[in-house]
Amino acid sequence: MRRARLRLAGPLLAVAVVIWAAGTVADEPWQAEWNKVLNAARQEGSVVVSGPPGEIVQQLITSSWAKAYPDIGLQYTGARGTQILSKVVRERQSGLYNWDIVLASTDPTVFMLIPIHALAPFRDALIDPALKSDKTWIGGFAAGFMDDGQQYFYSTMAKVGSTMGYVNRDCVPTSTLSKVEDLKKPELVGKIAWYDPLQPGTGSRSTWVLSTRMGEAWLEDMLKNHGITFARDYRQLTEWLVDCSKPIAIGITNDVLSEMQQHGIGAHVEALTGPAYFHDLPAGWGGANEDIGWYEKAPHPNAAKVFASWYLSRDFQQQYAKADQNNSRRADTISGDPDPADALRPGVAYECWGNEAAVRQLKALQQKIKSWGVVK
Amino acid sequence: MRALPFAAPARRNGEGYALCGVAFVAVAAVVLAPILALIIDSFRVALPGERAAWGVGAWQSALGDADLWLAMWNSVRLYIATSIFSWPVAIALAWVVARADIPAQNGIEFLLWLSFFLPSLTVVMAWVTLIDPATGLVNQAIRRLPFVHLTTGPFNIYSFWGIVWVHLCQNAISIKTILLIPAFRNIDAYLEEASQVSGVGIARTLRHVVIPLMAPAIIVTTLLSFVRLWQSFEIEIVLGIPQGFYVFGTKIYDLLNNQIPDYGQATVLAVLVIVIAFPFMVLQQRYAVDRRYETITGRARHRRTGLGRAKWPVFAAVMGLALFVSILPMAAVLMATFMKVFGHFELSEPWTLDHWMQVLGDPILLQAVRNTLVVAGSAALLSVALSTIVAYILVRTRYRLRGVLDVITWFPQALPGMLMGLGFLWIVLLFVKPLYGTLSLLVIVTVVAGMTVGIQIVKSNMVQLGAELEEASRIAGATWFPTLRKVVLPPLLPVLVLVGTFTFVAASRDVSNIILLASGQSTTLALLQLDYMVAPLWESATVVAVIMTLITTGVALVARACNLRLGVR
Repeated sequence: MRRARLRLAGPLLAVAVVIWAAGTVADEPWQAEWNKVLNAARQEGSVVVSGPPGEIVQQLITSSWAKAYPDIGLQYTGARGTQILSKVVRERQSGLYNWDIVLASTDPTVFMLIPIHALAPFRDALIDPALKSDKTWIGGFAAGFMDDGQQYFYSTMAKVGSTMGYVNRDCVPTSTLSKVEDLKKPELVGKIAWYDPLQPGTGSRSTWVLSTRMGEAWLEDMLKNHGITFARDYRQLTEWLVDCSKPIAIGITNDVLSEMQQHGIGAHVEALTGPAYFHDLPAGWGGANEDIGWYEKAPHPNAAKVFASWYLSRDFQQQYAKADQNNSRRADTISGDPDPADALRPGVAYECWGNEAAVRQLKALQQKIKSWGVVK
Repeated sequence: MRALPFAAPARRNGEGYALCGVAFVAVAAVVLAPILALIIDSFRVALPGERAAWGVGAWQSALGDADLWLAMWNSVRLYIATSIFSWPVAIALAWVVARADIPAQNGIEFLLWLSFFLPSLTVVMAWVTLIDPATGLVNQAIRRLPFVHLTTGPFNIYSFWGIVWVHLCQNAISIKTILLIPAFRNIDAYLEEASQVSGVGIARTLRHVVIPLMAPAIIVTTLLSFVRLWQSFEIEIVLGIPQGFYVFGTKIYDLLNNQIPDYGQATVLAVLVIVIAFPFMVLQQRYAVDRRYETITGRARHRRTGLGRAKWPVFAAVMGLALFVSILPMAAVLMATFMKVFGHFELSEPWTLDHWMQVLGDPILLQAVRNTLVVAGSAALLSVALSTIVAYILVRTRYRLRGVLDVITWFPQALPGMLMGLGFLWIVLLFVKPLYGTLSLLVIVTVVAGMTVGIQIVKSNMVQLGAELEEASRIAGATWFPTLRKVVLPPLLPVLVLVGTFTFVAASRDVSNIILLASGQSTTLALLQLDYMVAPLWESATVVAVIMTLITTGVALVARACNLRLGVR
């Protein structure tokens, strides 16, 4: 009898533990709060977001959100951060608070919105503690903040390393260009095009990273004395690259190039990246124009919290990485980057090339480049 | 021709002065309020949200920029070079289309309009495809000739003259011609006949009779292009920067498109344009309004001049030019929408419908079309009404402030679109918040932005209208409004249609004036096109541009079908 009782005690205990555990999970304070916020968000009815203008990103965000929260509308405006933020600043000066969420890059967001106290502490938008856990994010949660104070503006995506530019191997063989020093070879004079380093974007960041490795004197000589042609149109630069009229293009994105390569144009164009071009460059990463912040006095504060949590969720980060061919900083996602080497690796100490401090250094370099008189 | 003292009838009744006063206050408010807001803000040195602090930092930085004066000089010499070629061609072309007895004049005028509809970036890229020094198709063909031994060129689009060439082919000739044609049509045939009866040839008649009569239209069009030249940047960014050639327009563009836009310095540069153009604004008034250029009188007769044996050669030359500036770039634009990658004919299957499918399947497209029609259509109608009333005040009354009013109407032309939008943003947020984000606001801003062209073109044609018709109307007992409607407007109908069509085109293509004021619900086709450009889906953006061109052309043709005697026929 006693043995029989003991035999029953085991399963009963297990059931009790399961029931207790389930009860504990259900009663987690954050979950109760989450339910409250979600209900309030449904009452608010919609969330107003400004974000990147690209068709793919826009489609992804709107359609994924509609599936996740069909009862909370999403008003998405895609535009350059500069345009949206100019509006936001004037609106807030006039007491209008129209926006809940901003998705943009560090520059200009951090420099325009934080000084006027327009952004709310980002941690306050995240209810689930797992979203703020260091275990969830490669390099820890705090590493994703782009502002100096690590409070307001957060980057979830990251690409390791830097691409200095591209070379068309149809007309510049490896024997002519295989390392960064080769750029100054006399036979390459007049063959290099450079995206205007005074303009925001990939070009200025590549130029800055290059200057940190090679020194400003090297860069000044390069820009002044080696027949560089500057331009501001990615398509124009890519056309020059693929038709070999300027077979080396520094500071361009691969947007136009990858489209051309899909059709077999510029098949032998290669990226200038890796130790040969950046020497002892420690691994670094930068976010882009999809970093997130939420507004003080947001008109739909609860819907904004739901959006922020959803944006940082594993499901959405995975979708975003795949659609944007990028890498999420979340440790539980798979790289969407065609080059797996661009994905962050746990345990590596990375520099951040896209945060407020880095942008300040970049702006200082741009002032110097302007003083050199090579571009105006 | 000796200019006679201005002798138009004065409006001295209370009703007329009230109308003048209302028009003056309305125009001054919508033009000056945003400009004043911008100027005040240019002295603000504190960050938004901080306690106000004032200084001249923006002014010092803008005017202390060593490159500024070189950029201004580049703009001026570009203007001079473009004008030297475009003016003689535009005057001759306008005269032939309006006054000579060549066939297909309406078709030629339509082709000129077509060149105005086309998206400038696509046209620039088409010219790059043709005359890039290394890979341009024309250059390659020339280099294959047996007696040519060149490795690049002979033409180089990345040069000063390359930029001049693209300006000439794109708008410099066609816009001037379009704006001059109605004034040419108004010339009394008696004057030309009298000259020819006296034994003077066509060329001398053109020089000594026609051009002096056209002085108001020519002066106004010259000043319009002079003020606008300071904002030109689209061609220069693509073709100028690779050769280190910067113009004033690129300076303003940079200040407005920095990551953190410097609206203060951009405002300073816009004020600088107004200051430079101010003496010309006053002078044009003295020469274009306060003299007498009447060519439409009670006895006026309109007859085309016979060209004799020169008729068919002239026709061939004019038609060739019109085709060159319209069909050639139009073909390039259309081709871009059907090519996988524009300009890459070497692909085994270069053609695709994907770009059209993408744009036609965009859920925002229909809303953008509707918004464009509402904004551009309303702006066109309002612009015609405003231009008529203000031009009437400037030309036909002795209202004391008419000179000030005339100068004020020039300011929108001098202000870059994005600054105009920002000025309106401030004013609306301060005083009329409910208007913010609505289509009505976009209509108001596009009307103000197009005000200068509309008013000045109607004005320059109205001075050709003889006062005797109105005097007869008043003697017959008609008050001012029936006189305006039944006597003044009918002969001006072609120019009013021109202003309406011009405003419709400009409003439907406008991005810079409205980008800070539009909301997700008020997206227009031009803003949708910008989205595709930024994406960057260049070919799809060109599809949107073609849709805009089709809509604009369609509106012009529908107006013609309604027997409105369109400028576009």
